[in-house]
Amino acid sequence: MDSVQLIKRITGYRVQSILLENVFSEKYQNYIVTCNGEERGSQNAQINVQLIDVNNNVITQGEYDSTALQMKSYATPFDELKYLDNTSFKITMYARQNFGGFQMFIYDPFNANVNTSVTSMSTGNYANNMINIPLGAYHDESERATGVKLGFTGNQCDMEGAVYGIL
Amino acid sequence: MSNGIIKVDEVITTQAESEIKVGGIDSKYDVYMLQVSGITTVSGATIGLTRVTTNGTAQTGTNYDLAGLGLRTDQAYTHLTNLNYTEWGYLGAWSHQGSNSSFRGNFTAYLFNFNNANQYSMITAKSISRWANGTLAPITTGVYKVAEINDGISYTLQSDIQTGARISLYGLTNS
Repeated sequence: MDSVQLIKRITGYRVQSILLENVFSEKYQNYIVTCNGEERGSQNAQINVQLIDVNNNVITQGEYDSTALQMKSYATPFDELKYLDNTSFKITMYARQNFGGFQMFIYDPFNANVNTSVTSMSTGNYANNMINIPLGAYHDESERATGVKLGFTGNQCDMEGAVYGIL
Repeated sequence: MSNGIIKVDEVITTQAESEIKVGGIDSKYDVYMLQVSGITTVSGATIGLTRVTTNGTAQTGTNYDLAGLGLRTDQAYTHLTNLNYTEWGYLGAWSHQGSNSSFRGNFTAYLFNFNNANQYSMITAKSISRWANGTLAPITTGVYKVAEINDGISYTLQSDIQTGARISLYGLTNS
């Protein structure tokens, strides 16, 4: 039996976000989230990830701590990105003109006694260059999460998000 | 053979343990995935120590090299370079708050050439853990510099691993 199982996949056209609701449960402890798509425009844009609580509300409070490295194909040094008490797992992906994608591990989000943590790696096309971002982060409150919101800061994009449970 | 990622071995701690081992690496898969999650300790700062096993026994010779970058929220990122160590020390779960903490240490790694007697065993990992001053998220690669078959992983902390830790080994199917 495959130990990584698709729970939900959602595709949005000309959207600014995707909600992957009711995807975390007691069946799995850890999860994989993937995102890929295409920007409908040419803005500098990023994807920020937020958790969804047991009432299906997106957690928007300043409760996210993250550390990431913005690795660029066109310049050095790479940028250290650190955010404390932010309103999302900020800059999970960064791009312009084209989209990229990311893969994220989410650890124990359904456990109400644990602070949800994540690691991710993204790639974004930045004006015919490339930006890659490895990221690690905690949700600063120990509470149950039931899903994630993938939020795009540009005008519009076509985006697909998927959640897999790891047995 | 089914496609995908197949669980080979798993240990979930129900009491404090000084060492956790998972095994079963053989010729069935070329690449394996290791996931260590839910790590807490009795006391504060500690380092997670990862080693290969041969015939189920952790190898403790000075054959472990590691290179990585310690992403962190509390200061400038740390260049991680270890040569000829007795373990992969910064691979995952640098340090954690105590056992009552709701912040758990986690990492996922990929294992290469473990079942190849003519090649060194190699590993890549991304980790997340918390200590008193903030979040630590090292990205690392490691090599075990002995050309031999390694059949699993040993994971220890500088203090005991507490109840609720889960260490899982998966094979990535070839076809």
